[in-house]
Amino acid sequence: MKICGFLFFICFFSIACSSLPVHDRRLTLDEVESLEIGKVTKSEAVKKLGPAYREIKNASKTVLVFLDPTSGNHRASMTFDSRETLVGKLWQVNSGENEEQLDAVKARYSTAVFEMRDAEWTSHYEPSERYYIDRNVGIRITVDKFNKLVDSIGWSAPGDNGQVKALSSQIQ
Amino acid sequence: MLKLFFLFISCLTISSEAQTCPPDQHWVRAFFRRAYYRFDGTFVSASNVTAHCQNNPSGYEFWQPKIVPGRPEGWPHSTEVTKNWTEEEKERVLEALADLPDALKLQTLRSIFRMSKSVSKSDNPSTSAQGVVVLYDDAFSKKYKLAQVLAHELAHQIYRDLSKGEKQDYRTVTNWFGYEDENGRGKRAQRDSGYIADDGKESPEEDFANNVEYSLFGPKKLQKVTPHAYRWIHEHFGDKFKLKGSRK
Repeated sequence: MKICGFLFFICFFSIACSSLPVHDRRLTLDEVESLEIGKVTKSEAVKKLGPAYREIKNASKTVLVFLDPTSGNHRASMTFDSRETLVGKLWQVNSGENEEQLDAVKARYSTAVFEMRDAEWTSHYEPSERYYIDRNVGIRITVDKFNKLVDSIGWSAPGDNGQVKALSSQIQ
Repeated sequence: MLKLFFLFISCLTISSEAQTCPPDQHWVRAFFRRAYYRFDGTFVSASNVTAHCQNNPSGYEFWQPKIVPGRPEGWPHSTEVTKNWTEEEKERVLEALADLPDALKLQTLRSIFRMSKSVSKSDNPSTSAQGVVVLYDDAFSKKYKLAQVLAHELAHQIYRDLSKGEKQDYRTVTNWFGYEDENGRGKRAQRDSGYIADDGKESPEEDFANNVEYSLFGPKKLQKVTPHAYRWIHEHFGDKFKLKGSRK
């Protein structure tokens, strides 16, 4: 009887583990980079990255939010237009990762020519965001100008089509 | 002539003696005090305050050197006019800061400046930049509680001082999820659980400053409107994060 109980527990535990949501696995920057803006659909993205933690929807777009399984914090966002085509990606850099250093990120995207600008002052405070942007490539690095660490990397359709493709093939 | 000379010398002596206060007190010159309400609703009536030695409010040694004349280096609002601190304003700022919890005594806060009007909003009482707080005329008006204004601005500095992990944690807990739009602009998806103040929708930084402000000046409201922010602040700052009386 005890053995049966033990076997039941093992079976139940295995089933429970296998049904864990896929977003509990760790996403990588390479995976996010490989999703091509303007081509990948929402269902293809979900197939590749797993189900999102949250889906935020309005009339013109849908944003899929993915969390980091270790910290539980925001890790990536995928933005889709009304036809469910990928139009934007955001990768949230975690503490201690290489990409936290601006030089490391610039080196990763070595063909990009970044233009720096600070976020505009809002009603009554100095914002912390500093951006490094290359519109032609469609990449934007957000740095916290007070602690000098990279906060996130974002992608959108490039100003000059083709360059983002060249950039993603270079990364892969 | 000799009598006049002695009168002048004795006046100087009296004046310099009066400015030497016992330890834990500081010299306050005579000023006219306008009526105002303290953070707890206590009414302070208008009065001609005579020169006297005033007991140092809590945190006096920390805050007093930070109340400075002039304008912050590289201040972007070039049309904002610098104003001299009056005795009344300095005393009110010191009193208000003494009401705030010690966690707001930030080593990274260098200076508190005084200017007349904000360019950004007509009734804006204050502005915050890295290491700097600027107070405008409205901060001393009846529209605002000075301690609350200062708490809000100091909370902006706390946000700047948070580690990367703490910022990420706060943003996730309070449902601030960034995304890239189709034009390469960083956006934040607004949460659906409410904001303690409307301008909190602008950014996690503004939302954080509002939430810290309300955790001190309206904790019940914050707990009701944004419970996850209330819990995060409570866990981050601990039980001692409360207003205190300013008098020693």
